[in-house]
Amino acid sequence: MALLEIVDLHAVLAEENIEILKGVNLKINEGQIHAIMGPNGSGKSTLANVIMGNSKYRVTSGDIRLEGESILDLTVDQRAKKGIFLSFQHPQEIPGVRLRKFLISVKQALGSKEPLLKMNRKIESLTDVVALNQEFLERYLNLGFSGGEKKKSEILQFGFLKPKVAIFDEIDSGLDVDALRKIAEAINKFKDEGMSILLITHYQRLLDYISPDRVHVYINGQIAATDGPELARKIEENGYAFLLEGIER
Amino acid sequence: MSIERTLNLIHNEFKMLEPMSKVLDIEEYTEEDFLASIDGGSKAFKVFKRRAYEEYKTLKFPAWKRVPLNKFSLKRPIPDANFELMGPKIYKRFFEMDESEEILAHSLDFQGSDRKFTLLADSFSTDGIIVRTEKAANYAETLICKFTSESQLASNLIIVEENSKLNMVFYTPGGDFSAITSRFLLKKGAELNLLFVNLSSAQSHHFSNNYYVIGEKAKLRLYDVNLGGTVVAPYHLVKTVGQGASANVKPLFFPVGNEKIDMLYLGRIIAPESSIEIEGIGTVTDSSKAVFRGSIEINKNAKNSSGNEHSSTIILSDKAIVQAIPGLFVDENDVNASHAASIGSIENDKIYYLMTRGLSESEALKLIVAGAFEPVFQEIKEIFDDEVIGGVRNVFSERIR
Repeated sequence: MALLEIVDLHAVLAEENIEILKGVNLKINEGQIHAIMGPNGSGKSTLANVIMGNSKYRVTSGDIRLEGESILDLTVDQRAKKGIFLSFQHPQEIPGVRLRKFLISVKQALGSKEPLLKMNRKIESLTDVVALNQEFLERYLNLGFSGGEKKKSEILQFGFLKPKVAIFDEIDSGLDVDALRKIAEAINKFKDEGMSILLITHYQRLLDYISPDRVHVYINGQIAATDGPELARKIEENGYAFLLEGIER
Repeated sequence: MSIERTLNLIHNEFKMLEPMSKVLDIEEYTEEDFLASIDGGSKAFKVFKRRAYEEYKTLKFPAWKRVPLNKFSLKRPIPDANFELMGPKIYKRFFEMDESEEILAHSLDFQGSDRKFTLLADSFSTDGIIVRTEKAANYAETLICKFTSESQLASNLIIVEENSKLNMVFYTPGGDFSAITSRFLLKKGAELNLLFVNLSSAQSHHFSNNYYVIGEKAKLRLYDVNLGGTVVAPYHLVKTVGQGASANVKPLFFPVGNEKIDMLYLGRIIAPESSIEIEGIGTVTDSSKAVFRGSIEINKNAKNSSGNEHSSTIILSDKAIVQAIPGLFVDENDVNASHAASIGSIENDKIYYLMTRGLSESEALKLIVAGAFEPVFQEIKEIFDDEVIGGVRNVFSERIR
């Protein structure tokens, strides 16, 4: 069954009325991992933000469905409450809000009634899995974190919040090989059987550690090609040129 | 004896001219009121107050420009100072003042936000506290002075003796009027952690005038927490007179509705190797107004000293007004000095980020605004009574909307 389905989705930049999604179709079944690859500036992050409901963008036609129901009329937080999670390429820094306290507040906002002690233990064990020092739990959310630490903070949030669909926007950018492997291992570990994942990335290297069921190439506001994991390797070897030529023709 | 002036700019043969300000024409307290206020006090108390009153009579109340005082009138009957005192027994009542304390209080005389308000408290207050620590004593318990009346006039004198350490809180839970004048002397090696909490709001006038003289290697940490009112005007002049003296001043403010707050924090660095940091944090919303004047003066010969002033204000409404007026007056080359002010609304990207985690827009906003104050609340919590800051946190949190 399709957990997340995007149907002929068109969207514009809300302030400038410039079309940036030009008919996107995507169907991710329960438990599947999909990867979206594409050259710089192709609008991959925009797609993630439109799915999440960022008010910078306005959907002009098409639909986004979660478990068969349209989520277009839902606010960002309502979409999060329905089970969509977006991991940011550049997570925001929030001074004065401790990571541990933030995780607990958010979990409670999502309706969790788990006792605090249990939540705290869970957070600590997840922190170990992402190889983040537990001191970070008492630090302000992402404030002064290095690029890698911010990514770990995102994965920790993902592991703790347990969404139905998680979108990772360039989770691999700015990471060294060891950090990338650690983060990929954590994603694999935190992923439940029914959970679906959408990885947005430039590079094949992330897909060496997380095996996608489907790989899509996203160019100029559209999905230009879809295939199995071999598509990612082909792009790694040949670049995007052969696909661009296809489009231009 | 000359008083410590708010602006005292002299450079070589140049001297500033003081502007003439507009004044209010309101009904004054009388000689009879004054005589009633000194009744029962010590001889020194009467001397102190008579001198204040003689000058008071010659002055008019200011009209003020940025935060006008057009709704101001003197309250009748004349407010008493009612307060509860908790903590170490190192205080006496202001009306019990002895001669040496009178001489000291006189030597610590100052102009304040306006001399008339400084003298209003000194002339007509019936009470206040005099605190004197023991030499080299370290008080584990916080001294809390909690005002309990709707309105108060009070004068205070706080002496922190050599190498002693004291935590002190002035707490005003609410009320419609106050004029409080306080003088602080920190002797060599003394440490004072001081918290002012004024939770008065809406229809209220508050004038808090404070002057601190900090001796050699003495340390002042000052937290000043205010909301806003018809006019709330905190004034703190901190002066380092001893080598290696230091002061850290952290004002927090949060006016809402039509409330106004007009603040002045002034660091005057006289001694070499001394330092003053002023760091204000605030939020304005609705149609409220905050004026934040933060100034650092470094006098000639204050070599290797440092003075830094910064304020940051979050604006939550298009109608709210912030005027940050930083000032830096440096008359010595061998120093480290800076000032800065930031004013801005909350970045939409931060709200969006928190919303992607399931918080509603208003929950996200609350979290971000509360987060701006949190590091200072945390410091206050670590130094002072947990209960005091818990109440302040709640009041601030309720104001975020």
